[in-house]
Amino acid sequence: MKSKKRLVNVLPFFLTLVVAPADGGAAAQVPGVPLPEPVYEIRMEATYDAEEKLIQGTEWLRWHNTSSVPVSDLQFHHYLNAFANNRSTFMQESGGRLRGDSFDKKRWGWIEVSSLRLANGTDLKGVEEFLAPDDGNAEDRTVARYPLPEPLAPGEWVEVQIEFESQLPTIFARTGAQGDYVLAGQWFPKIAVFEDAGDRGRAKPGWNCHQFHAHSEFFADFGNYDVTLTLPEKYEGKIGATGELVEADTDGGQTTVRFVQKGVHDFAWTADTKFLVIEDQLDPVADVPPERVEKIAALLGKEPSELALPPTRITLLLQPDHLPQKGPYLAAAKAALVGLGLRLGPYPYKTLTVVDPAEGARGSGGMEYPTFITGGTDVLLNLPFFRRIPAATSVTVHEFGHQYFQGMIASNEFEESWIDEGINTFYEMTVMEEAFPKMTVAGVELSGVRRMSIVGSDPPDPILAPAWGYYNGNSYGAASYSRPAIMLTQLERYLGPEVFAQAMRSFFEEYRFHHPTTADFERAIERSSGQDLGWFFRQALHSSKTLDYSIRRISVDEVSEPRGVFWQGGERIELPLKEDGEAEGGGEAKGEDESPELYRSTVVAYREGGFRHPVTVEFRFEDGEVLRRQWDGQRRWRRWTFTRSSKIASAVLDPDGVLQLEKNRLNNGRRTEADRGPTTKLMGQMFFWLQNIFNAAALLG
Amino acid sequence: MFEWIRQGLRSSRQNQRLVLALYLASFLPALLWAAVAFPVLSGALADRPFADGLLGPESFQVWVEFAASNGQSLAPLFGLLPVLLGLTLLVQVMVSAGAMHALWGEGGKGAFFDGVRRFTGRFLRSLLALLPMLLPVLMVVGIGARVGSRLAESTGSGNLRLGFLAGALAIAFLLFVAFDLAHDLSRISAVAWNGRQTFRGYFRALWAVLKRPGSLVGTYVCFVLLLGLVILIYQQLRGSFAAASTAGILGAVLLQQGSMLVRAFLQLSLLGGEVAAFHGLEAPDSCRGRLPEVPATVPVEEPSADVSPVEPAQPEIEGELDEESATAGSWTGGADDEEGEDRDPDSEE
Repeated sequence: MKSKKRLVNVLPFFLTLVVAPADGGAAAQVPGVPLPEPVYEIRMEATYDAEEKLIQGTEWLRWHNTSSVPVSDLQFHHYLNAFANNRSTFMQESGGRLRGDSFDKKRWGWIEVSSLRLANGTDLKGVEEFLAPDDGNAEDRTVARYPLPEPLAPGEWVEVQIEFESQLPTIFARTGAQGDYVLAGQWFPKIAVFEDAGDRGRAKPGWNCHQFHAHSEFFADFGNYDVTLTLPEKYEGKIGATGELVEADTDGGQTTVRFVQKGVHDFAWTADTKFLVIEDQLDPVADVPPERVEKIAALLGKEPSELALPPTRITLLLQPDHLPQKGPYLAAAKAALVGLGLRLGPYPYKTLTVVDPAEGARGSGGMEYPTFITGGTDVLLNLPFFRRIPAATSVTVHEFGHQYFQGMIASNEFEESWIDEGINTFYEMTVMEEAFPKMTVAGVELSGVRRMSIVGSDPPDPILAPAWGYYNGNSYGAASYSRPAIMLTQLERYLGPEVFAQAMRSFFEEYRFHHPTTADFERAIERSSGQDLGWFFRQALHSSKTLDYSIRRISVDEVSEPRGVFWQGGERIELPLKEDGEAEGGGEAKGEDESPELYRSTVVAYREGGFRHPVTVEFRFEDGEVLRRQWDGQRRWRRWTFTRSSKIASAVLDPDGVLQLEKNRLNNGRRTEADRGPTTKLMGQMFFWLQNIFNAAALLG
Repeated sequence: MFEWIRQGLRSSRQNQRLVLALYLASFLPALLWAAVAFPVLSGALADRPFADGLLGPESFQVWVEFAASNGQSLAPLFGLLPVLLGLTLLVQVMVSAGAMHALWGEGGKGAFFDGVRRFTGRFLRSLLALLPMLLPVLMVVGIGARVGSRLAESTGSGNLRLGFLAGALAIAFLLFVAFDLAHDLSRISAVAWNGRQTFRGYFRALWAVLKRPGSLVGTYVCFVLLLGLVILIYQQLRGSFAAASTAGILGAVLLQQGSMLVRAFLQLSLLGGEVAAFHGLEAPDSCRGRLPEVPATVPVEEPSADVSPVEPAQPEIEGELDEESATAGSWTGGADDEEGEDRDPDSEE
């Protein structure tokens, strides 16, 4: 153990505000991959009291007014106050339950600022004011406002020193401490986003600072972080955080670590005395399958050499009980780095920390912070029998995917959660099916599983809604995750994989680090694809219309012989001809010279829902002929009539499975002759399962 | 123990009609449901090309999509299941009554139905004795999981949770085996001694199991392992049948029903093994003091070719009354409840 000089707070503090020094800053960034200009710079020093689960910290913040108007106050998120009492907006909305986890009321979580001083020494604590812009809840203290003595002019920086104390709750809703395990998320006073008029469609300039809601994640600007953490010595070497570790010392029973990272919008850290620290690296040669590079390069219309990926250092902080899952964790992280990197562009940071939450701390699992993600698994998955369950692998892939959407796209998750969660879920499905094709649920790929979660019901909400404005948690979940992911699958099939892949990459490259809105997404896809897709987005994203087309009727009639008066070459004739004096002989057998029998086949398709979408219809005839017709799907119904020598056998809407958002695919087709094969197989399976259930009664009887 | 297993297997070989009866006990209720369900499902699926997906690898997804959009038509079908489950339990009790009666005695024409007639009521009462015993089994699992979970949270060890859960499941399994063995042995005793004190008999049988856990539980566990092996083999083989063709569907159905038949065979073997164990452990002692009752419960019909006994140990008529046996009596309280053929076998105590 070498001796260490305690980092000292030297005033005037702004002179010490040297954020991300050259060594650390350069080390945390991949050369050649640009990071955003920081809107703020934060240096923090924080000490963790492992007994009390209390963090005492000092935050030095430099914030830049990038807007075109003077700013008269500063607004901060005090997220931890969501767990301060049962009257907070979060607690009222969630009832103390989130993602199957319950809040432990034995230890409330809170954050308190004891002083917030400007560089001239003015303490703004006295004018601290709590706001509730979303619901007016006076008991909610998750948004704080500090009026400035003088408005901050456009282009100027303000510097403040904040002394704060954060009490971590028992692990719940992405943050907290439990035993020796700590996952500190949303743990410090977090500057909000000041938006200019026109930013993200905003009419007037102002702060965008929402309260902490049960069904919402976060929104922040990009900044540079330089954070020094001091913990009890027992945590030595067992601490992980956003960014790169640039200093670590242990002295006097305390261990101190310093992490730096440029171009991120949040900072989280973790520690556990039990962590196994496993270091690995994405090797751009060994870990990137050439055939995958070629396939994706072909989709993007690029040369494989243009998709080269940089190395990424991966730190896996693993629970010892999960050691057999080291391989799957790392494989998932690498597959995600490769899958997302090739499709959208390289991961720009040098490090990725993957945290395996402690037993019983699942509330901190499945979460993303910049360069830092938490997974989630179970000791049961140590057993080979359970290895093919995709849950833990898909969580890691999903959380890494957030590095691109929550991390780099950084949309406003309060207001447009689908941009992060939905697009990321789409890429999670893509990566999982590409890299882990054997990981299915009862033989169904993850995209099928996602689709299964939305079929059969009419959505109560559009995809695009404020996170606290959905009908309920299930509707938020479906609208933020499954439906947008399935909507993108539909868009991919509608546009074609190449056009879609190029459009998505174009969207990502244009809006990386720029907080795009839904409108930005729509414009980017339209521009890249060269198609007007407003009709699609209006229905898919902005409405809750149901997409459902059906074949309502299929029928075949024999075309009767012509009877009656006809005009042929200007001459009137009556059929059938009677000059021979023969009687009508409709039932007589036809000779070889006579025309073959004709059948009139009629098919009626119906638009059952309000969502209008062009649809292909495939008609199969008994002689094997297959015809396809396009229907614009606008009117309520459409009828096709075919008069041919062969009867129609079946009619199927959307035979290529483009309409993934369809509520009910069973009604998409009909055939004229019943086929009981599928029903027989289904009955065979159900019969056997029932026999098994009934046979279990033999145990008792 | 191995002799009991051998005798159990032999009893199944020699009583194939009983195997068939056990097989039909679950087959017929399932068939009944299928008869109701097939027209409903066929009506919804037969003219729908999308249903062809049921023949493919993603059949589960097709089923879920079908069920999600046809909840109203499926609800009555699934509502029927609890009713059929209750009916199956009743049929199973009847089959057990007939099978045990046939296995206990010399078999003979009509032994099965005679057993059904005489012992179904008592077996249903015996089932009432077993059902409350399932509560501690479930409690062991619940408490084990909860304690393990709490300990795991405080120590941060997932293995501890898994260990507790596995331990609780093992204990629960052994408890279930003991309770179920006692249930079966008390019923065999009821058949043997025409006993009527089902509840007392159940607890005496439980005590007998607890006194000799090794061989009795071992026999039971061996048959459970054999059943597990059958299920494992079925799982390995079922992938061989590509169900997209008629031959595939037929092959899969044959494999399923073959496995169910083997399972019925093993279930009867377990009963036969328990009867053999009853003879080996209890019957001789009891018979010494209760010689006059033996003819009252052992069927007197001539053995038939198709239903053979399991070679019960013949009552040894050695003269002196064994005091302990006489007071302990049979597991159904044969010593307390002297009842002969002349009494109405279905009358209540």
